[in-house]
Amino acid sequence: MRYIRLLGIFYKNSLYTEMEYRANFIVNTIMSLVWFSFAILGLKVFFFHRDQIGQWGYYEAMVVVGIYSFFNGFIEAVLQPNMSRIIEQIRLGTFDFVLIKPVNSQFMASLRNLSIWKLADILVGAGICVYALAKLKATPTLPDIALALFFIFNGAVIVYSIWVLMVTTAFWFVRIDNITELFSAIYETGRFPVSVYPGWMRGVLTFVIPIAFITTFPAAAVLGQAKTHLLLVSIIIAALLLTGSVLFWRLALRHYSSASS
Amino acid sequence: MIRKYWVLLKFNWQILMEYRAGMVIWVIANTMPLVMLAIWISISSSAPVAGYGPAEFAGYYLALLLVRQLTTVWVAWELDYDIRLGDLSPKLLRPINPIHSHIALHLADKLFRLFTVVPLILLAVFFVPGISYQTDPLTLSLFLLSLIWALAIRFMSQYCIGLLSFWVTQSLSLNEMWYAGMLMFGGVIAPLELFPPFIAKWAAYLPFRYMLSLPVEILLGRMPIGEVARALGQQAIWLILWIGLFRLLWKTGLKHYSAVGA
Repeated sequence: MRYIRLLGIFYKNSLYTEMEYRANFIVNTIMSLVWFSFAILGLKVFFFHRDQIGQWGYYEAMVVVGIYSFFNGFIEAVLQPNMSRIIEQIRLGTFDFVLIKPVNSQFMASLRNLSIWKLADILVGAGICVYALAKLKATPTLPDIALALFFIFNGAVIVYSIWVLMVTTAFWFVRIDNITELFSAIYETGRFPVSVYPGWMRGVLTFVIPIAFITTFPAAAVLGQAKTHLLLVSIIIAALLLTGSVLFWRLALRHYSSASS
Repeated sequence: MIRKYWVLLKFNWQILMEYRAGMVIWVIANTMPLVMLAIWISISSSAPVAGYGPAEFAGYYLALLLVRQLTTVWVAWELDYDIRLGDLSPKLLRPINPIHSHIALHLADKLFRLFTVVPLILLAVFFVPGISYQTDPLTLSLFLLSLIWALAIRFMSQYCIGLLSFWVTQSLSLNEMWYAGMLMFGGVIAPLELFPPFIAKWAAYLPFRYMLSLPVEILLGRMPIGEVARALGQQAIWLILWIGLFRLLWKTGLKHYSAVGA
C-alpha cells in the first residue's frame, strides 16, 4: 500500500517538474503521429499487393500498430527515464544514494521518474485502436475489453521485467548505456502482427523474447479474437520474467561495489 | 589539409575504440531492414510481389543493409550537444571549420564498419542462394559514386538540421522526423518500385531516395542506364543544395550564437 502511495508522490513530483516544458507535449504527439504514418505506409504497401497479411486484414493490423504505439508510450514515459538514470548512476557511483533509501531499491530506481509528455504516445495508440475498431464497425463486448486489459497489463509487466533484466547488466558492463537500443530494435517487430513473420521468427517472438504477448495478443483480444488459453500463458510468462528480474537485481546488488566507501 | 585530416582520423579512431562494446550494439541495433525483409519473404513465399520473390528481396535488403551501414550519420546529436551546451566555443578557436572534425569521426566510423560489418554482409550475400547483382565495372563504379554521394547528403542534411540548434531547442525531434522520412521513402519499408503509384508519384520529389535507395537500385541493375544517369544527376543536385544550405545556416547561425558559460 505504501508503495502505491509512493508511486503517486513520485509521479506528482515528475508532473510538477515537467509542467515547465509544455511544448514537449505537442512535439511528442507529432512524433507519435509520424511513426504511426510509418507503420500505416507499411500496411498500405503490403495491402496494395495482398488482401491479407498473416490472416490479418488492414484495420485489424492497424489495431496492432495502435497497441505498439501504446506500449511505446509506456516504455518512453515510465521506463526509459529511469533506466537511463540507473546506468548513469552506476557509472558515476551515485547509485549508493538509491540504495540508502528505506524502500526496495528496484522499485525506487526503476519507477522514480515519469516523463509525462511521452504519454502522448499512449493517447495516440489508444486513438488508433478506437479509429480502427470504428472502421471495422466492431463493438467489443465487456468481457472482450476486460480480457484485452488483462493482456495489456501482462504486456506491461513483461516489458518492465525485460528492461530491468537488461539494465541490471550495467552493474557488470558499465559502458553499456545503449543496451536498451537492442530491445528497441527487437521491439520494432511488434509493429505488425506476429503471424506476418516466417515460422521460426514467430516462435522466437512468442517464446524467447515475447513481443507477441506485448502487441499481437492484446490486439487480438481487443478485436474479440483472443484465445483464453493464451491468457494463461501470458500470465505465466509475465510472472516468470518478473521473478527473474527481481532475482537478477538482487544478485547484481550483492556484487555491486560503488565508487567510494 | 590532408595531414590535418590524418591527425583527426587517428584521434577519432581512438575515441571509437574506447566505446567498442557500445559500437557493436549500435551496429546490430539497426534491424528495421531485416524486420521488413522477414515480412516480405513471408508475403512473397506463395507468389512474387511485382517481380520480387524471396531471393530478390534478400538481395535487395542485404544491399540496403550494406549501404545503410556505410552511410550512417549521427552528427545532429553532436551539434545539438555542442551548440546548446556551449561546447562549440573552443572548437571555433581551431584553425579549421568544426565540420571537419565531425567528418573525420564519421569517416573513421565508416572505416570501422568496412572492416567489421561489411565482410559479414558480403559473406551473407555469398551464402544466400539466388542473389544476383549487376557487377560490371561501370555499375560498380556508379554504385560507389552514388554511395559516397548518399553519405554526403545524409551528413549534410543532418548537419543542417543540427545547425538549427542555433535557433530552436527541438532540432533532435526534427532529426527524428527526417529519419522517419528516410525509413518511409528511402526504401526501408519496401523497394520503392513496390509503392502504390499514387504515393510513388509525389515521393519522387523527396530527397530520401537519394540518401539510401539509389545506390541499392543501381547495384540491383533493374534500371536502364539512361534512368541511372538521370537519378545520379538528381542526387548531385540535392547534394549541392544541402551544401549551399549548410553555408547559409553556418554563417547566420554563428552570428546568432552566444555561448553558455564559455
